[in-house]
Amino acid sequence: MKLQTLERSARRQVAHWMLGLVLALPFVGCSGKLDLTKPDARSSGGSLAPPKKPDPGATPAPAAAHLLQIIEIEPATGQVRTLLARRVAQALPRRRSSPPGLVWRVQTLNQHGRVLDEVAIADPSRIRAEFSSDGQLAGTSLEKPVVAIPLRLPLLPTAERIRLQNSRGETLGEVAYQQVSP
Amino acid sequence: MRGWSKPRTAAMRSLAFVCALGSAANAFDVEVLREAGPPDRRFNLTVLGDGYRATDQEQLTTDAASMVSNLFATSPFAEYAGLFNVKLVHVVSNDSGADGGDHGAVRDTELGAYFNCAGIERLICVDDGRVLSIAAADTPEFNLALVIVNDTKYGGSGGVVTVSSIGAGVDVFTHELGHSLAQLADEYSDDGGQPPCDPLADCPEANATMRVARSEIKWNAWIDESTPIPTTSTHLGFVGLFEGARYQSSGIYRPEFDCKMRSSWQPFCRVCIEQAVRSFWSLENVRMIEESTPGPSVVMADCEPVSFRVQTPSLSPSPYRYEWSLDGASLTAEGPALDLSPEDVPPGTHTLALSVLDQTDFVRSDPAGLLSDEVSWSVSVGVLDCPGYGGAPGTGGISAVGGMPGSGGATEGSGGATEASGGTVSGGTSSGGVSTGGGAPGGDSGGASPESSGGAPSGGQGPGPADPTTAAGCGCSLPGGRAPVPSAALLAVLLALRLGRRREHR
Repeated sequence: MKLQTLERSARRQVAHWMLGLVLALPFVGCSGKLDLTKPDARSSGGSLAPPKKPDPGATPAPAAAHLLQIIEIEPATGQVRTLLARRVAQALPRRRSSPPGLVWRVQTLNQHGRVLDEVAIADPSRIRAEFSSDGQLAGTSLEKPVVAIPLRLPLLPTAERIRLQNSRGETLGEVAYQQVSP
Repeated sequence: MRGWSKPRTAAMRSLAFVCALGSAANAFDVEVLREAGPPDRRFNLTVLGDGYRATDQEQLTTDAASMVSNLFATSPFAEYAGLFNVKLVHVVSNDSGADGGDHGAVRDTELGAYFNCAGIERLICVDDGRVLSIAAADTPEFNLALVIVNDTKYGGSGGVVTVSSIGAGVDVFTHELGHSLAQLADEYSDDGGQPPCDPLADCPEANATMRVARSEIKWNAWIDESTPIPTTSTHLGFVGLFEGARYQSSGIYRPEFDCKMRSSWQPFCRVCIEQAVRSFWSLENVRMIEESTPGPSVVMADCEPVSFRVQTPSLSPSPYRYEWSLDGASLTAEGPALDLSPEDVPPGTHTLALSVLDQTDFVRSDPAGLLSDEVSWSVSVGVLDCPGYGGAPGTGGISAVGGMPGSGGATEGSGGATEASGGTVSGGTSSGGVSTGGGAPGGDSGGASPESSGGAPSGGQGPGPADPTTAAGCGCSLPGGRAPVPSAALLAVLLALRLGRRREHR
């Protein structure tokens, strides 16, 4: 009795699946904004508060992994080095809209210099020194001579290097894009 | 350059580069302090200790847990704690404290923390590259790294890495998170070395403005009509326009007299809380609808009901409102799940949609629509012979019993249309719980008024307005002599009737 029920259930599942396959095709992609991993690299520096809602329409199918590359740059000399590079078994996190204030641009290039990926990040060279003083905060913001940056980038087989630009669009330096194996 | 570097650690740093490159092996023990959900669906904070020897690791756990506990006792982190994971990396140092702190001038610590950075006594710098490399190796999902320095001397810093000594407590962390997560401006007047706001574009942050006309103030929704603009200290506790913010004593205004972005031990002001909540919903990994089942296309090939369900981050108290609609018409169903039977809908293809809204009182203005999310399913229903199924061959169609004058709504409706007569779709004064046929998100999901149902076609026999994509509002026959397809509003009425009946049965 139980077996019959299971068989019936299995047949029903197969029928479901077959019919679903045929009828589902025209409607694939109708769900809302479930995929939001598309980089939002369109915005430039300037006023962007409150944050923008990511554009679900421009969302590619998310890869199940991305590159995490920790780099360090000395803007004064243009020296850039990679401290760590690893593959992270997780879809590339959604990129937030361009932060207010000064931003740097991180471009991923192929061997021909074509930009494969671009993202704006808050100026990582700034360090805030803020302290309580007589009941209120006081502080200042300084520029660091050595800047460490955590970069999360899509896995791009043809990517060769990463270029960093400051808020004025000046290239600060380049470093190899680390191809990481699974 | 003088004052930035820490020469004695240069060799250590070089060694660290070599060791770290290409190595993703865990270097230190990792402790979970707070786990609200899977890392790919939460914002992940990684806390690292510096100046904690092997024998100090229990103290590190105590210090970090205290910091996390205080952070998530602060509004709005308290209400939205369900969006955050926190891990602690047990970084082991040879010495306790930090250079220039209460433990001595020179300390051998793993992250290289030192006071008097750049010649500023209380500014603590760390080896950011080392911090990020350890965080990446041990907690690759991290979104933000925080360092606790085991020194009772007051100090800290903010930037790519946020640093605080145990002497500074959690207030510095929370204030810095206001910058990092909510992109808030400092509200104090001390010169912060930042460029001034652009008078044309206004200040970019949500809590600072140069505008003095009430209608142009970005937090105008929070200002009472009776509050004077600009506002002075006679209006403590009110949202207004207080002069002095963003490193300027005049010309730039803040929303309240005091706030955590001005005095770190104060709570966040209402406008900063609003901005923080909006920002939380745009954080990396965070989505309001984080999972939906079944997949986007559903075929109802037998008489079994299908359960449509979404998963949202667990927040306390729950701020969510769920708005279901079928072919654009709102349904009375509430909650994150909806059971749909083939008998609820006639043959054809329909769009079932769900909007989830965060209805928190913290937010009055959400121009970018960050506090809502939506998902939809394409539901195809075949011609079935189910008990009580109105669309089955031989029954002749569907009748909206609940929509008949004086029927009294869902609890009285038969819904199943077993008494249907000739495929006629009756309109009239429906009270089946449908609010509107328009289906616009945000609509009231209460009972329908006669006016709201007026948009439904009053008859299913004529050639109604064609809508080939949804068949709603069509009234035409499907190929093969299938039953007529009723309007979107009527479908909603039928579904509401079914749902109401089921609820009553329970």
